[in-house]
Amino acid sequence: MEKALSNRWVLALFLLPGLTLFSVFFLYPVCRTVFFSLHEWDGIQPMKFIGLSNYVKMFTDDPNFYPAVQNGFVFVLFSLIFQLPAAFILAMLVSRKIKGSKWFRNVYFFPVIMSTTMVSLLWSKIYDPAIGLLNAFLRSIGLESMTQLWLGDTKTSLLSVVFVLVWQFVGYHMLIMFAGIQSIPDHIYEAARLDGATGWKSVRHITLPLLSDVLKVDVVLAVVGSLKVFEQVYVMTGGGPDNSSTVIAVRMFQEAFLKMNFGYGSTLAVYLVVQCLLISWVINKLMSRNTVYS
Amino acid sequence: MNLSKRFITSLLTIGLGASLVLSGCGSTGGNSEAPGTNGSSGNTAKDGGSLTLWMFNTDDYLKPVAEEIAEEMNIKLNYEFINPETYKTKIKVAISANELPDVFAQYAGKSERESVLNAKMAAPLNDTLQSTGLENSFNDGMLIKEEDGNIYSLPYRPDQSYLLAYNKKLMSELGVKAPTTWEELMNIIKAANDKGIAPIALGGKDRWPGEIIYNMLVLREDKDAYTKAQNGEMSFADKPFVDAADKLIELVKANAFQSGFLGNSDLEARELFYGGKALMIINGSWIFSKAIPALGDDLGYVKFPKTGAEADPFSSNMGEKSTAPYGLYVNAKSKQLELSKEFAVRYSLKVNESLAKLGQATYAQTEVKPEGVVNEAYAQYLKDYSEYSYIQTFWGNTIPAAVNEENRDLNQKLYTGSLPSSEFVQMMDKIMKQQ
Repeated sequence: MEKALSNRWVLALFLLPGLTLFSVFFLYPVCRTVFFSLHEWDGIQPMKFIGLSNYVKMFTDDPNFYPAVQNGFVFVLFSLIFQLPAAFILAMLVSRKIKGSKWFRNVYFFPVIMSTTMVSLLWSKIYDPAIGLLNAFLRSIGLESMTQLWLGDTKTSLLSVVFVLVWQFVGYHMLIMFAGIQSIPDHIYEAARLDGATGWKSVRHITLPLLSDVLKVDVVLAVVGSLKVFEQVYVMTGGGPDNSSTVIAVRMFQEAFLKMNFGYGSTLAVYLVVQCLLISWVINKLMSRNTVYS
Repeated sequence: MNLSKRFITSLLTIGLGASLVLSGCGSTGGNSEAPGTNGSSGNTAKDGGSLTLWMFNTDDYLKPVAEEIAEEMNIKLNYEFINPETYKTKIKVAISANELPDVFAQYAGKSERESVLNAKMAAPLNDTLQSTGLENSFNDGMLIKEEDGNIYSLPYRPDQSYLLAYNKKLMSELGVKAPTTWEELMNIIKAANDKGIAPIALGGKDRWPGEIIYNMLVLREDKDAYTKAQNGEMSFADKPFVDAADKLIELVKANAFQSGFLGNSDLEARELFYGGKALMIINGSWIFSKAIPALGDDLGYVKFPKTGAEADPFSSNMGEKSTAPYGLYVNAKSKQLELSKEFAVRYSLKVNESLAKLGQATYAQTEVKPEGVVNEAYAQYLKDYSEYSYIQTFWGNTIPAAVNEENRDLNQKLYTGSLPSSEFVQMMDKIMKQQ
């Protein structure tokens, strides 16, 4: 067996299915998208090569491009500031050997397995200014002045959608962190306890450092997930009102499928991929430098 | 032992190869499935075959009528209703991917129609219309002949136009009458707001309902303004366009639309009106099919009020009377092309009969008479419609999709209050000149 597996050709043969799938479903579409981005194409008529014109248009002549990029970073910011800390706190809580912790773990994870479209529709109803639960709740506790139009107002639409994304995927990050916390040996905590490190001290000096690799993965997933956000925005606001909640993925969809500008839509897609790759690389570099334990 | 290891390795290799070959075979089989068929057809098909039909209109009679025709033709029909907003995307993707169903509906509008015709995805229907002798059943001008002399689409809904519908009960509770002038409209809006009733239901999230209100306000300023601007005889930044924008801004400032209307879709806005939660709705005559059963005799209708400088406002209206109307198309690559064509022709005519039964406007000759009493508001609408001397096609149906989308985005700025009318018209002029 070892002899067979040391044969390069056999190894190559075993790698072939995975490589084929990766090439067909990832590399090829990415290459095609780059190819389309260099063309003017409505998806039906023959393509016309226009070089980098779509990229020039994206950076210099698309009034919605920079707001979309900015909104993407708002999603990232809120994911990092609220989603991951909340996930960490929840992971710490459900890691405790207390009655019902498994049940809580499932409850927090439940939104993750729900259809994003369904979650978005549900929240659209909650946000409805006339019949929605949120305004009704605010009124019932005497905070009528805080009621808003939520999705129907340019000032609140973006944050309303951001909240849903943060809420929905807290459980996802909680579960990853929970698995990481479970993998930390108990004897390290016991030794720390003997040295007087309990409570916040043990979290700060043991849990967080030993969880750094997991946190790095979580940060990358949260950032990339936020930059790629589409369904929540599309279902809840369609990027509006007045493009106030638009993001790159929605812009890409609008250009390709509503305006039939497949070429320019592909350009936005290429930008999104490059942006995600670049930011992931930067995060990896930054966090590798700061990793205390590996 | 070595032999057994070698045997296992060989076995794994053979298994891997076989799985690759089989998966290859599987995919070939999938690809050989012609567009226009789907998984639900096949074994369960009736003797006459099976067809897939895509529709996006919400009218209740469309599905039963399709099933009735399928029953008569002894075919298994897969009727797929797709949400109207989703459909706009789905049909474009299907055209690009060559994945159209056998028969499908398409929106009105230059770009929408051209997307089907330019892709050469629509089958000519002349032969079926002639062989069945049904061509003459359609009213004059209802079968659109393209430049090559072929007919590629069939009507399935009558001409539509713009209107202001209202809830009579709510209107009488407020002690006001349906508006005919700008001042009356503003007074009613104020009265409704004072009573906590949403004055006008509007689906601002979808953008087009808001856009056609602006189209209409321009028409009420000068009925020829849009045509002249398109022909270069005037600018989109001229007075009628500025005044209409000012009127719209004034409406928004007066809280004319329901709270949070920019977050509501058109269907949600309509439901608000059908449910008696909004006093008025400014929309197309397509709302009658649901508004009549929902509101019955409480449904009121008037022509869009005189809001601007047009001297003879009530003889003109916005509508869909164009060379690119809503249409029913047959996929040229359908595996059952002849069957699909026959189905489409019969379906179009059967829908026409349903319209006649409901007392609605028809597009083909029929002996069917209205069943029961025709709703008073709708009867008045039909009378008014027949008397219009000028119908301006909705702007969106006359311009390319990319221009239309940009114009809709811009139009929404009037509703969010982020642009004064002077800047708005300058930007609109720039967008419209892209055509």
